[in-house]
Amino acid sequence: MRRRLVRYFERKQCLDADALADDTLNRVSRRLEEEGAITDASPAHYCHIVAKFVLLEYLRQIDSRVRQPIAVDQAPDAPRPAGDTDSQPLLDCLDRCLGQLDPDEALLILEYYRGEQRAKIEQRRRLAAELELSPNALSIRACRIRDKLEACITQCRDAGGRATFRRVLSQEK
Amino acid sequence: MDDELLVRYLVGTTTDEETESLDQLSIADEAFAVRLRAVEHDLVDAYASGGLSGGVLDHFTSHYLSSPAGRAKVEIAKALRVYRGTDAAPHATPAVRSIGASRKWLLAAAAALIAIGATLAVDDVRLRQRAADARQGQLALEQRERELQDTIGRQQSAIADAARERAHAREEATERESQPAAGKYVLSIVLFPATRDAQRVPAIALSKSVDAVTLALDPGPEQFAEYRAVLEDAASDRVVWRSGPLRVASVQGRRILATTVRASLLHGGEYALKLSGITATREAKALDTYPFRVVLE
Repeated sequence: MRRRLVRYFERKQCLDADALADDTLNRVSRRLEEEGAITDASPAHYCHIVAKFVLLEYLRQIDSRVRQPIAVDQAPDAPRPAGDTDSQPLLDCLDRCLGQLDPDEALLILEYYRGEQRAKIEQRRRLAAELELSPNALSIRACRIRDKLEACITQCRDAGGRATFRRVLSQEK
Repeated sequence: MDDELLVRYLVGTTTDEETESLDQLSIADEAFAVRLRAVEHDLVDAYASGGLSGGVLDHFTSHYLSSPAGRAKVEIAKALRVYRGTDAAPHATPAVRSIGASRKWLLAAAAALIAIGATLAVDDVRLRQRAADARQGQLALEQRERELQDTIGRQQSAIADAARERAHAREEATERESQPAAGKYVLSIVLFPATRDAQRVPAIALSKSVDAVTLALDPGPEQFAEYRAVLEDAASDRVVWRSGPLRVASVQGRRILATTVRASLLHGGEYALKLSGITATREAKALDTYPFRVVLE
């Protein structure tokens, strides 16, 4: 649930999605502690309702300039082309995080996202057949591995390439 | 619910009602959340490969990329693309395409290269442990080496062919339109310790289209939780690059270290990759040196 909330706030352009997700869960917990149960909505739907309030409060608090969409070429930390020399740390993190995955997972993630359009569809069909998985099951598996890889890379970059990213991998497993 | 609706949701062009409904699903329904993530990964990959156009591209740029999280995902997608290395640019020249096609054993294609590399590397370990069946092991190793030399030879030959094609193309340039931009590639090579056979230093033929070089090697029989590598210019002993912590990958039960170096750091000449194992007390123990030569195309 927390991960879904983080992504919800990320999609809403929030700068500190993790803190907002924690705030949401804290409020839900408080309500449960106070009332013992939530009867007017399912727990998941109630989380969404609370998340909306947290988002509204956040939007009111921040400077409107912060949440204004920024053109990518003007953004201070806009993505650099992959060919830039500065991408070496990212490649190093990618190296390490792929190395931390199970070999089968590392191969799957490289193969699943290979190709464009029709070639990609054909590639995934072939992979699903090889792994004896339905296309949907393969998609879910690849998605989860990529989420894990991205979390590891993000942690690795935040830590300046240090070892703390290993914690993320072990938590995600 | 089709993927097109999810794409519109991700780039911020759904109606308020659609957005509200999808927001709720994305929090309350795990299966939907996973599917949304899958669509998001493909969308980001399509952007990274230049596959978006029109309104989707406009909204992706103005909406999705306005968040730090979105930009981070795009950077990772681009890095994955560089790492895979074989997704040819749509306008790659015939010469470049031939280079790409000749490298099916790239790390990006993973299994082939790593399997060959691991096989060679493990054979190398056996050679260094030649106490009992030295002769037989050496013969097997030499056979493996020949296979690798053949592979490298084929690669160099392909690159040389490509260079010749390019030269030929330039001669006929007056009859042609301007040449499209070349794609980016990752070159992969298996390295051996210097101690084994100084005469056989592997060579990398580096063309301008190569963006990065993946160096795969056997770390030797001694096991460490972590390794580090330093790349030195052999002529000047100048340090060109230092790796972060490296860990052994186990591929088909075999141990292999792989790391990727940006091609822009490499110039023509001889290099030595010096490997160290990091002990439990965080001390670096010098291990083998892996020489290789870079030839600029």
